[in-house]
Order: sequence, then structure tokens, then C-alpha cells
Amino acid sequence: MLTVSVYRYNPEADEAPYMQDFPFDSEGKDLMVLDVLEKLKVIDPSLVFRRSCREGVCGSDGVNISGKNGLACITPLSEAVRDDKLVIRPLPGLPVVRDLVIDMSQFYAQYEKIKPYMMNESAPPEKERLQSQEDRAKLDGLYECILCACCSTACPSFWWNPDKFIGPSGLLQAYRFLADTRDTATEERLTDLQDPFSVFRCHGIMNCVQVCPKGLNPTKAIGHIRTMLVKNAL
Amino acid sequence: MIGSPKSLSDSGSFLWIAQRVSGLLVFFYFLFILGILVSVQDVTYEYWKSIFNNRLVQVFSLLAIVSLITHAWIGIQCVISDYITERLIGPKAILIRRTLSNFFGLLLMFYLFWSLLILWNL
Ligand code: SF4
Ligand code: SF4
Ligand code: FES
Repeated sequence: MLTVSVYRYNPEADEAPYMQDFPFDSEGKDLMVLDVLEKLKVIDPSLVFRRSCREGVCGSDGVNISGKNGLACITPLSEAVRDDKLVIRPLPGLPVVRDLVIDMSQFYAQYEKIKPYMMNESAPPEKERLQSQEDRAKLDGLYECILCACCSTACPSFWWNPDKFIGPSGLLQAYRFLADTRDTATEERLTDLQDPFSVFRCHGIMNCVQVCPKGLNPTKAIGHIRTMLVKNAL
Repeated sequence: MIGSPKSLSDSGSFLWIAQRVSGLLVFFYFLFILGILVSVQDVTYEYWKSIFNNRLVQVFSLLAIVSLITHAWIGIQCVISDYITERLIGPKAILIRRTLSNFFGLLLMFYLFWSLLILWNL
């Protein structure tokens, strides 16, 4: 028998957040944490969480599972249960809307800031802008981000300054466009990032790398941006 | 060329470079001092004095002190603006941050002049 401890908070009814314990029998199966949540919701329909694809693609069910951020749908119980206990909390650092659902406005605001779209002033060719295979390969490890926010909400610098520090997710995407040979706005992008907070607040703690469910490395991307900025300043 | 920042303290790159360079300088200064302590059998007051009477050593010491002060200043600013934010403790953060910032600024200035006095009096 497992004890599943879930963070509960309904701002309209509860004075303060609390942890609710559910006894849970996985019948010996190595279920995903999302399966467990679904089953708990049958027991208590007032439990609220986000989910959609249930296969690690949409990025909507990022939660804090036994202390580590991750996607509930692709985290098996065998990885998450310690001493017959599973603890599920919302991603840390952002306001809680209800139970496991957080308000991600601040996260998206940072994403918006880095202008996450191709910028190229030249007239588009008839079909599409071509790129060599080598140049395309530079985007590997960058474009796969699903914006689940597991990384940014694990980053102390983002906890302290979510309004000024772009955070690992946004910076990974910033580098995705800086590294793209079809994008011509490199200087404009770097100008927007050169203040002491946007990029330079990364202290290389690497929590982001540790938690990314897609195995991406924001710290490395941030290092590349920093090199570009410093080179430009010298 | 990317657009230039309003001032040096608005340039993350400048602060980043200053932090590394000053750190390195202080590191080498400590190596230098350590080297003397290790290589010379008994370091007497006279010997110490003769070393610090050397122009080059004085310049190096001055550089190391200025570096240390710069390094500390950037570091303290960073810590203050990480932990004392309006988001965490409300609007009073601005006042507390300014106060601490000024306090450490004055303290570092005091240290700078004090070290200069010691260095020049030799
Ligand atoms: S490496 Fe940088 S971005 Fe990643 S968690 Fe640490 S401070 Fe945040
Ligand atoms: S970098 Fe990884 S953890 Fe961060 S938002 Fe993208 S997929 Fe999620
Ligand atoms: S439900 Fe889509 S990533 Fe988990």
C-alpha cells in the first residue's frame, strides 16, 4: 500500500494550502504518476491538475514529484516513490491557481520577451528558406523544448527574479533563434539580453539540466549566449 | 555591433568580465604572497618592509585591493538583488536594498582608503 500525499489548495474555500493523504494500491504495477492522479480524481473529483497528451509531448502536466520537477505522465512510480510514499506538489515558485495548477503568466511573459519566432527582413524565397544539414544540426537539443516549465521553476535565480531573469526555458529558446542561420536578428536579440539580469543571473546551478524531461541542457545554451554577449563587449 | 547599454553597470557583459578579471588578479596576488611565505625561510619585519617598498609590489598590491573591492561590490549587489526583492518581501524591499547597498558601498570605500593609507605609509 502506497501513501500518496497531494498538495491541495482552493483559494475560494481554503484558508491555506494543505497536504491530503490518499491510500493507494498500485496492484504491483509500475504506473505513471499521471495514472495515479487520474485514479485519485475518481475518488475525489475536486482534485485539479492539468494534462493532455499523457505521453510527454504537450508539456501540460509538469508537477513536483517527491521533490523533483517532472512530467507526471512519463514519471513511473518506481522512480518517484520513496519509503512507500509519493508526494505531489505544484511546480514551485509560481502562484498556485488551484491544487496542482499554477499560474504560468510570468513564465510565458519571459518566453514572449525573447521573440520566439524567426526574424528575417529579406524577401522570402518562393518555397522556403533553405539551410544546410550542418546548420540544421545546430538546432538539435534546442527545438525539442515543450515549454513544460519544469526547468525554470526549479531554478533559484528564476524564483528570486522571475520578472527580470528570462529563466532556462526562455534562454534555451533564445539560443534556438540565435543559432538559426535563417534568423538575421542576432544583434537585436543580443541587445535585448545584455542587461545584468536577463542572461547573467544564471549562476550555473544546473537544476534546469537535472530536471528537464526532454533531456535538454539549458545551461549549455546559456553559456553560448553569454559567450556571444561577452565577445561582443570586448 | 549590438546596441550599447545605458551605462557600464547596465551591461551584464561588463560586470561579468570585471568579476572574472578581478577574481583572477586577487587569486594571483594571493599566490604571490603565498609564494613569499613558502619560499623565504624566516620572514622578518625588515624583509616584509623591503618587499613592500618595491614600486612594482606596491602597484600590484594596489591593483589587488581595487580588484578585491570591485569583486566584493559586484558580488554583494548580486546577492542583494537576488534575495531582497519586492516580490519576496513587498515594497519595503526597495528601501532595504538601497540601505544595504549604501552601507556596503561606504564600507568598501572605507576599506579602500584604509588599505591605501597602510600601503602609502610604508
Ligand atoms: S544553470 Fe542557470 S538557468 Fe539553470 S537552474 Fe541554474 S541558474 Fe537556473
Ligand atoms: S527546457 Fe526542458 S524542462 Fe525546460 S521547458 Fe523545455 S522541455 Fe521543459
Ligand atoms: S500530459 Fe502531455 S506532457 Fe504529460
